[in-house]
Amino acid sequence: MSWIGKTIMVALFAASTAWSCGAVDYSVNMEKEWASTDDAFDPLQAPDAITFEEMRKQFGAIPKYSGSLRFAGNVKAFENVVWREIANGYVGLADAARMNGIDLTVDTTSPQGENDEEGQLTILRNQVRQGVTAILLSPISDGNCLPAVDAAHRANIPVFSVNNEFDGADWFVGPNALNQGEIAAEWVNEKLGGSGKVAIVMGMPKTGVTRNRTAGFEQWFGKNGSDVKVIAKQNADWDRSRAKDIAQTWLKVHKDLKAIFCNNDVMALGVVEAVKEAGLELNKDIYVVGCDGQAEAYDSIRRNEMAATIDSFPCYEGYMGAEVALRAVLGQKIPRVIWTPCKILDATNVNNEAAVNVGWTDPKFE
Amino acid sequence: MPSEFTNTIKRYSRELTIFVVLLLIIAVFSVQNPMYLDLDNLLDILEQASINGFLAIGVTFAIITSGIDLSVGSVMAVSIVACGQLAVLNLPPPVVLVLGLLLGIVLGSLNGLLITKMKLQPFIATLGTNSILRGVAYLITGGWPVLNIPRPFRNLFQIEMLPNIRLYTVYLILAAIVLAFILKKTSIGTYIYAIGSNEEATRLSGINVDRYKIIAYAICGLMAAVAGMVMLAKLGTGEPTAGQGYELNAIAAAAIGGASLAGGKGSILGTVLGALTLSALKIGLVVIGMDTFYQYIATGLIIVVAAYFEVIQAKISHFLSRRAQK
Repeated sequence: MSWIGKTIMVALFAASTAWSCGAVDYSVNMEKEWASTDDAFDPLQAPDAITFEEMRKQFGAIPKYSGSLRFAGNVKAFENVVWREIANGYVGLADAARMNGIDLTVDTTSPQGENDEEGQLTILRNQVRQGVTAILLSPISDGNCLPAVDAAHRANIPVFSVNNEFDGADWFVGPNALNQGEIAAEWVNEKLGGSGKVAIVMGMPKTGVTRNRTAGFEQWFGKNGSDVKVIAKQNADWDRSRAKDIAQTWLKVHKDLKAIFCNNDVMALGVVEAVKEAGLELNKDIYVVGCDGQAEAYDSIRRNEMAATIDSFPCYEGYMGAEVALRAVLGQKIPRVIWTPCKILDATNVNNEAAVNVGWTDPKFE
Repeated sequence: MPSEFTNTIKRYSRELTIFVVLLLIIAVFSVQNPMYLDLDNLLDILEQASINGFLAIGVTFAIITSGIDLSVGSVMAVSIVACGQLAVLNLPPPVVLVLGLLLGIVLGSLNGLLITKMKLQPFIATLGTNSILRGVAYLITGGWPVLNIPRPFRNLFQIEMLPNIRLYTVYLILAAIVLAFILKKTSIGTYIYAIGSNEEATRLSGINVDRYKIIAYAICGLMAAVAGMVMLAKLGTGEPTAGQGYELNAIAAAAIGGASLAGGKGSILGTVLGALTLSALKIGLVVIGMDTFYQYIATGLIIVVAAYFEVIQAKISHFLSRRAQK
């Protein structure tokens, strides 16, 4: 955290100095009508949604540009490794762009934790005032940043929604949370041979991620004629200790529970502790599946504890988010919703490099 | 007529009330799902109450002095990451334990010093340290969790003494007994109650008020540090994000148990029963598969109802004594 904090402080200071001198104009005329925060936006309903891979095929190389570009990243909370990874991804794309002759910088900031809704709004307001080319935003809740999104649009700054959607997002780049739940369900179904009892530990209900991952998982069994039954679901607010407590009770009440799907890895790791204490054998008596693909989950899978995680490759996701933004501001007519890849990682592929699992290739520049 | 027996009942009326509430909760959930009444599950109520129990016992000391400690969740987080870092260095577990306890006393005393020497209001002072210590917890590890806490340290808290009774529940019971003794039977306890009832009078009678307030906050910090180590041992991973919002559960347990924010009132037994009540409720809603949202509502209702019982009791005894006078 400390070095990130320092980097951000230095970057912000440098940026504000440059801005107050009024030396550089970062704006790009995109001749586009901005999305409105009055219209509900659900990426899952977008008719022209395509995957990131399809987008690259369709639009080819990233165009040339001779001016200066500056993106502002605004993520939920650097305390969470996922958001630091996403910010690293932004920097990765900016580095690649500079190596290929496009003068692009990205400065990423985060509020003080996932409960600092007001703080995130303030940061966003400042970013709008600084006059950046585009904003890459991952809001804490569905609504906390909306006032500043309008302000950005009035200042002709496009707002890209990365990972978390909100009304008024001009583009959305991120994983399909419903699909993540479905992938997990399909994997669980195969492991259980098509029947058995399972349960879900949910995250904070204020984000669409919780709702969609849960719904995707729950609905898959019915849609695919599986006899797997979701017999319990509880909210553990992303908290490891709460998830453990809930699982401890479930394991006593539902002796025949075969799998527990958790909305994120941290909670899955808590559930693993409860299973161990209950004297059950992981990956034989019961499977614990998480979401996110955190390093700790990787280690857990390698130790044969967690069964699997739905990895959305946050570092690559950040890279892709910045790449979509770059293409869009340089005039490519990118569809509003771009899905980034997710993949289930279990004992069979957890040791592959992330680039292999994601099927990564570097972008091409004109 | 007022025998020793009725006096005891009167003295422990709040504890009795909350005990009845606890039994009611257990009865209601057991009717819904008989599995709730399994010994296994009942012991889980005790086990899952332990982290909140440690925090709540500590907070009770602050509340009795008519103060509050909002920083316990962050003290817990600092203890988690600091002790986690020490434990992964493979220091002998008892050494880590002692350092952790010292850390808690130091951080708690810091709150006490802000409140007494700098004359800050406890709410404001601990709101400040809550944020400061959260930052410290992040800085200690650079925001990353401490992974793979070695077994020897975890065993210090986690070993099962009897089936389903882990060492940390034993520690909780021991801590409760020792601190209840200090509060009820020693001069420290007497002064802490006196400060909460009337600080000025206590000061005028020549008692070093600052010293006893600092002791109260130091005990609070100490208990929060223990809660942190228990969580570290339970989960095997130390996260700097741990314990966010836990201060409110701790205060709720103390309030249910009869601690008054006006000071001078509260007991360890009441607080422990309060923590058990919250835990019984939480587990019950999981057992019957109720939506978590109801948990918030139920917790709030119990706080309000428990507080109202006391008002009714006061009214009844007032009424009875008036009639006795006539």
